[in-house]
Amino acid sequence: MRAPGEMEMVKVLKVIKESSSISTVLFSPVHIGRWSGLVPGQFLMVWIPGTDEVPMSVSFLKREPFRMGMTVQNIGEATQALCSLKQGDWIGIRGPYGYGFNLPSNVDKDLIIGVSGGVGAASTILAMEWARSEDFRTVNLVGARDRSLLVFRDRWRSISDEVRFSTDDGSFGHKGLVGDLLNMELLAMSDHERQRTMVFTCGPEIMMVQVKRLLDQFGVEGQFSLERFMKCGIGLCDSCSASGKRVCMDGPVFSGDAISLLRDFGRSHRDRSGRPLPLKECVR
Amino acid sequence: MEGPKLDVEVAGIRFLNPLILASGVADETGASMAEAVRMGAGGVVTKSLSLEPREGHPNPCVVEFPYGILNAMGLPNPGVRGYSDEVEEYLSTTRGSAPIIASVFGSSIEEYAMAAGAVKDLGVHAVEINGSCPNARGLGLQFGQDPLVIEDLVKEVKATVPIPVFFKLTPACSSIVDLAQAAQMGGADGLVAVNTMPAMKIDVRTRMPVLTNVTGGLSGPALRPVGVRCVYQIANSGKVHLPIIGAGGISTWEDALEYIMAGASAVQIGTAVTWGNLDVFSKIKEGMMTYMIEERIGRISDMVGSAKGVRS
Repeated sequence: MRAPGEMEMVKVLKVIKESSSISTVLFSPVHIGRWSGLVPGQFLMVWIPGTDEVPMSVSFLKREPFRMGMTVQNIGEATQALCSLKQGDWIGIRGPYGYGFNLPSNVDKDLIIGVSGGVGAASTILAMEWARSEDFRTVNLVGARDRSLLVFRDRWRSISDEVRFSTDDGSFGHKGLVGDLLNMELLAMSDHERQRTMVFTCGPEIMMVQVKRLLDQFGVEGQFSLERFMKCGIGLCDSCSASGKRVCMDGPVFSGDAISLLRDFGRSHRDRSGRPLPLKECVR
Repeated sequence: MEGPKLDVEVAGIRFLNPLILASGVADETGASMAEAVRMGAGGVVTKSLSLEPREGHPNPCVVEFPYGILNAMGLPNPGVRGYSDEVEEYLSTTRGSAPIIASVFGSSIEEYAMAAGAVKDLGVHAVEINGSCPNARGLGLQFGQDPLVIEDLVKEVKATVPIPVFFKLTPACSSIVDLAQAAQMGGADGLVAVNTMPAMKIDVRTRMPVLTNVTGGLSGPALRPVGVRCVYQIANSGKVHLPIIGAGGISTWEDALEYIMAGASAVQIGTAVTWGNLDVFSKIKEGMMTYMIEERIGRISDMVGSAKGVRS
């Protein structure tokens, strides 16, 4: 049984503009013990008083002094309010919720490949930093629609043995999909190397569908961070239901095996009233 | 020797065990409800359904406390028609192993009856009238605090559907027995006691109520003693003779037995599904079995209403 996630009010320390539409909001909670055990990939529910409460990944976590951060793309009312926060503003956070990425044993794997799409990088970057600090070799494949949405470029370089970027329009790195980079990476590996590899991925679901297909094809294990519309974040309302699993509690990170059982993966989301919608209508 | 039996019959409906997934919790889809049954639930109640789809309240819609959860979802649901695939999926997955009760609400007695009529066509086993949701203005609670309205509401729904009708009671009242009696007068086949308790939370930094809806319903351990008291009072009133399904803060086998001994024939579990997990059903079943073996009790029904005070 998990401990109840009471809301903690925190003051915004700083808002860092990562690009024209993406910002990182830094804050330092008082109840450090509660947050320092956060597993990358777990999420917070973030209350922006007067606007909304939304699930957010933690993109930044540093000890001494203790700092946390989340990276937000301005795509709607709540994310715009988050991007417009000023130093000293109060926000409420509760969590950490759900299952994050599961770092394999160094005995079984030696390489972690991060495959990130768009602001999905906000979730994978912390996981990949963690993998690196635990002595895994790290390869990062990072994609975005265009150069302006390709964030954390220096940070990616500093935590990767190898890093490759892609943009849909070719404005930075490889022109095309990040899945193409993964395909090239896996093609160049031996069967033995593939068995000793784990892939962490987060991004648009249509991208992760391609990643899943490649991993199945090459026999590589992976973990997928899913996004669904969430109201409560604690397994109550079932708004985030995907094929009978609650993304907030059973996920948001699912193993490849678990993903294989989710019929909704790559197919459907649910709207606010709970009606299923085909995925393409939900892709932002 | 045969082990103790957990199956129960409530208002003519047979459940393999007395643990039912409560309305509004992990029941957005047929697959979610079927998952609860796979994990040990004896039955399920659907999300509360209205004729037309509703989006519910904007977030925040929950506040967690160490002793409970405050929620104001605002009755989001895809409407009865939009939900029909979910019931179909549930029925085809569970193949009759666990009854499904449809929770309904509306903004008028006529709407309640129409929603009930529509869910009946989906093949559910019973209807639960949500006359006690505290979270949507003009819906739910306003119908559930007035005995005269309860009687008319139940009567109208009963006239519309041939399947058993349960009425879910609010603990926010001066006399739970009066409300229960009104549901009985209207012809209800059973009662569900209790729904959440109206409550609120204010953040002192922003001086704002945290819930967008300002108030919500409190559930979880904090509610349990209130629920047990309500069930006991109804069962021992001498005025109400309907089977009762107990609900409110049940997370262990002791909690479930408390409700049963207070007078409940079965119980519903909601908040515990979010704090523990769906394995709460199998854990409670195991605990009840052990208790029944230790206490040499053959059937759940032998314990219903068995708690008697010196002065009841």
